[in-house]
Amino acid sequence: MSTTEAQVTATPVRRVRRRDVIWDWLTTVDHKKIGILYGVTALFWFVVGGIEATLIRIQLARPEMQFLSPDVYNQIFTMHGTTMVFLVGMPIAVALFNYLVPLQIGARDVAFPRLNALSYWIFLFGSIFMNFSFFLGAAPNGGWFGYAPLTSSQYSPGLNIDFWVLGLQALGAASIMGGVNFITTIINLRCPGMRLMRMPLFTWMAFITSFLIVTALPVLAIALFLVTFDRFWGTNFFITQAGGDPILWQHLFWMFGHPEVYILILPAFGIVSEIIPTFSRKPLFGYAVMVYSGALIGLIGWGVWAHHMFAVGMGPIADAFFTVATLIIAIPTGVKIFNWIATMWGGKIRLHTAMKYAIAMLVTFTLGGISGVMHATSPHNLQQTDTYFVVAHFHYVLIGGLIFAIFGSLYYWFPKLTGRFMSERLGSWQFWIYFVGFHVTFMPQHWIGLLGMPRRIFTYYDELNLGALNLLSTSGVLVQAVGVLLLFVNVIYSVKRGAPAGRNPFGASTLEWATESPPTAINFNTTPTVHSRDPLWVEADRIEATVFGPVEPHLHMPPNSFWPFLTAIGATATFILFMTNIWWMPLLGVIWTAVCVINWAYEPV
Amino acid sequence: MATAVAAETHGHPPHHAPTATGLNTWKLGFWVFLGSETLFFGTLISIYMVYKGQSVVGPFPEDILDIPLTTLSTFVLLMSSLAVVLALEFLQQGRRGLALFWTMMIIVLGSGFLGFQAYEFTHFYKMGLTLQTNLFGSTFFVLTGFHGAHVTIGVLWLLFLWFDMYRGRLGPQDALRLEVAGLYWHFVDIVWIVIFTLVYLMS
Amino acid sequence: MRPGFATAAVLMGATLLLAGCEAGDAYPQTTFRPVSAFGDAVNAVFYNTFGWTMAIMIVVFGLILYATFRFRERPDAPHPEQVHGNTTLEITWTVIPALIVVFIGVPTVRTIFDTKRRPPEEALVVEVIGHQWWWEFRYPEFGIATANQMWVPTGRPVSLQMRSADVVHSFWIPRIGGKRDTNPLPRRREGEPPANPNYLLFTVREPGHYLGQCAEFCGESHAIMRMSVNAVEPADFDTWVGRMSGVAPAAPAAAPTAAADTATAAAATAEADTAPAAGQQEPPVPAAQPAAPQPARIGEIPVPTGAGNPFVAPMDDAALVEEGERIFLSSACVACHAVAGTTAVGALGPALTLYGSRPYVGAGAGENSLENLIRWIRDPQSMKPGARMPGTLRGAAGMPPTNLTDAQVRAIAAYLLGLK
Repeated sequence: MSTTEAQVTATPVRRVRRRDVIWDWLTTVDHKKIGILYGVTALFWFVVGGIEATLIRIQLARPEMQFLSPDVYNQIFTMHGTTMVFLVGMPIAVALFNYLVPLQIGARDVAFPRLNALSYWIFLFGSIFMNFSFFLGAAPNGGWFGYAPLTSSQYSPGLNIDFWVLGLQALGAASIMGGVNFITTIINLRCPGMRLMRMPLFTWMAFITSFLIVTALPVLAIALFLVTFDRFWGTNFFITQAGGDPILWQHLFWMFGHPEVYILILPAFGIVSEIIPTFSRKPLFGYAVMVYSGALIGLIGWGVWAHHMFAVGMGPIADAFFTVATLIIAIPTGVKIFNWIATMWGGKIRLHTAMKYAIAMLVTFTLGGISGVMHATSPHNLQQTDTYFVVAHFHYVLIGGLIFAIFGSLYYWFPKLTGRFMSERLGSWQFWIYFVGFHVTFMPQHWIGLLGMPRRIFTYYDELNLGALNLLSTSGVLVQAVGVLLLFVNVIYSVKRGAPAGRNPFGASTLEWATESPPTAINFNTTPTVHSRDPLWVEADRIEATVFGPVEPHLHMPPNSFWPFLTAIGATATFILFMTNIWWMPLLGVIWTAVCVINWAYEPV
Repeated sequence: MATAVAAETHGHPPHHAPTATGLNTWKLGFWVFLGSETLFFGTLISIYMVYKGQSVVGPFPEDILDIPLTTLSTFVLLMSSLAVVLALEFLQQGRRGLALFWTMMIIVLGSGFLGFQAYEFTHFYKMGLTLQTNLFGSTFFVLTGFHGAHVTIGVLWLLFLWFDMYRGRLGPQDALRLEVAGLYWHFVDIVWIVIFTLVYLMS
Repeated sequence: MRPGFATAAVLMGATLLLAGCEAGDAYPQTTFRPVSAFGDAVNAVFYNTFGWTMAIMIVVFGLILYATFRFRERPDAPHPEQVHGNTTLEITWTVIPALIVVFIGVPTVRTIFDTKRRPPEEALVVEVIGHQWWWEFRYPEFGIATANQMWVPTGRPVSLQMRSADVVHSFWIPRIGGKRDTNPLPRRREGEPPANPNYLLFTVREPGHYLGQCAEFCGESHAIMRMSVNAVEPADFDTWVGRMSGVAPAAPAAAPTAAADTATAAAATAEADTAPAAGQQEPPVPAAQPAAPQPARIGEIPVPTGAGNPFVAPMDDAALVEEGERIFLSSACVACHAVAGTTAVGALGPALTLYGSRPYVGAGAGENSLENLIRWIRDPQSMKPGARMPGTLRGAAGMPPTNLTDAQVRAIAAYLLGLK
């Protein structure tokens, strides 16, 4: 009895406090908090996407397995691809941009803090909306590339594709707003002395990535609008009976889709370019070339989209053009790899888990690049495309490139986020298990593909003789799952019990390490002035004197705002109500959004 | 999304410290956003061009497009861009009455353009051209419809600015707010000139 | 150690890859044992690329390995020299990859133009039409059509003209060469030339039966959209064309058969069942029925064995076959299916001329046995989810169940298997 009473009296106090915390996170415009929100959400979807991957591999472990029905399998592989690209790859990079870019350039926040919050909330609601389809048994099932006319209402009458087009539309809008924000932030909010060619490589890659986002995503938006209108309003964009050409969808999708590949990989290049100098105790080798090659990759990345379409039958001139353009991308990419090796050369290399991931990224990404060159050659691409060889290739690039870098970044910047180290012992185990699991999963898929197994098939036949290789691949997934689990164990353990880290535990050179761990709400007491590319190696004392000096007078930080959250609800509701197919229903969402937007506009900041 | 960006740059002028480039952050952000919009409309216009002449059944553009009438509506929209320049100039000079007048002129001319478009759409509809009729119908209505939606957002945005000006909450020191809205308006206007040339004049 | 592991894995892999080239028979869909000049050309590009990229890989991995171990932190080591770059080095490792790109690019571009030539005059034109989820092959030169198994003569160029009847599919016979999509072609205005079909040109060198399957995701049963190319000597091809045209007499029903298997027996016991009325609910199915009535999973489908061309031994019951023909031609089957030389001219579904000589039922859903064929006619969706053909148990694609008794189904199956 007495305990119950005690609880009753105690509860209100605790509740109020918790409510304050929740309220703070819902209304925050702090780039660090939004970064953490992005990161946590993306890691959650990473687990969901990983479970989907595991289901796919279980189904393919043996020939003619009956673990999943064809329709469920098609939903799972579609959502695996969509999730990993849009709900994991992009947002996890945006999480790091959010947290690190303002710190790295000596700013207090991004240029448009509320817009930043809106991006996050739309991303969150859009991702929940799309995955909610699973509960209706109608998850998207047209592949992450959604080729027309399979996505038309004639061939996909259900709600599946509606969820896909509307969900992606929301996610794309969120990304564009994020891109606008980061470009503006990086151009305009650099601290004194932070010239463009002094910016850390990670910020540079965030900059280039943001340009790709604001240019590539509108193309996807249009493509999705066309499919949406075809489905809901009976337009004819991809309807062959009316003269529409489904190949147009492929062009539009890959015009977005190939820059998207670089949107995913350039942040990884940035991460590795931070980790390797720190743990080699040497500045990045050939900084300028690293910047230019990144920009060049982004630029050429716009001219290679049709290398996804060699089988479409474009004619020899187009094939030759896109082959050569694609091969050319190998040059700046190769230069980057040599420059990373040269950074390590003659250094004093400390094999911290972050560094292990960075080196593993070099190794694995090189392999992915090599199979990429093999793809680029269009004649043999006709054998490889739409087979497991391609699946192997892009997992080498996206896991071996992006996810290895992301895991590395977690070990690297975790002390900055929390003030504590992640466990090195657990980290080392985690690294090796994940690394081995990855290669066991995906290395065999090169052969599986070249020995004749197409992608996106829910089953294959014993006579293809690919059962053993597929089983090997599936067993690797289980090892990877253990690796991911250990990572989460490490994070949860280290948040509470990790060894205290201090401000700059790895002796890194960039500005984010000049702040407290975790940084204060204003990041820097006084905005620092830099005179070099590696300020904490060259001018640490001066920087610290400003960063921890007296707080700048008349400092104004943007207050919390609830409107981004409410606006995002309105925007998502508009999409959901669109699915009712009653013409005035989406207007309710529009009105809600309009009310929020007006209040937003007149909110004092 | 245009709405959200508009909202972010509608309210009070920014408190940012001097920026790295000296450029105003709002204006810079808005320029970046317009860059993204260029790709948006560029894609739509490209699709229109790719599908030009691919309709299986009529009505075809040459049967239905009314160039003299659209020339008039284009003129109206062009004049509204002139009104933007004047309104901004007068606002910066602190001549409130004239600024109010010319801002209202932008709204009136913009609404006039939308009226022309509404008339055109209903007229086409009566002549048997709908979103579903053929590829021309689909591409035409989606392209001009998206443009019309942008004009509508612009008109609403300017309406709010006009009210602020009217109530004395938008003076010369905040002229940036009108300037950013003006950027948007000019952009939408330029997009229309491209549409007018490619869709109407070259039909 | 880590890069070492990767290097070892990759080298091991490279060995395996070369081994894969040898063991072609074990892998009926291998890309390593081409049987056409097209396939050879495509692979030549691959081996060239493979060689160069492996060389790069060995250099890169060697450098990473060396750097990682040689420059590992030692307690007494001095602070490293702060090198910011080296122009000569950086130019070197820009120029070398650029040269390698040229070495890869030049033969590749040459091959692109070689393999995309216009077809020669004497080429055999085959129209390939992808359907959800089966393949249609038309021979305009002879006015014949077949499905899921394409016959071609060896030594003669074959020019495929490819399109789709619904969504995008991709035609892929790995041993012949690269894949090519079959696209749904946009309709054109009256009086304008139709849109160009996709094309593929190859000449098969060795006679054989080559497996392939749809390679572009095309919906629910994309995995069961398989096909094969039966390459035969020109004389055999001519014979086949003659019989396909319905001109030459069908091969006499020959050898006695062991077809009195469980399926036949079971089907016989089920003869007493009355057929379901069209559009009505399904009748209860006897427990002894081997054909699973519920939407079955793929694992229940009997596995086709052997990569050869498993001709199914014909029925010895000539009367049954004759009965089957009569029922077939008077049933709803002919609304969609055609058999050359008969009154069946339906064009919506796969043509069934010489059906008995095909290796699979339902575009690879199962081996073409009597048991499977009966199961297919009764309930195609149990073998291939989403199939557009109505069975006797349930309708499909807006069509009601076919009004056939199990005895009639058996007779039709016997008739179809006898077409060879």
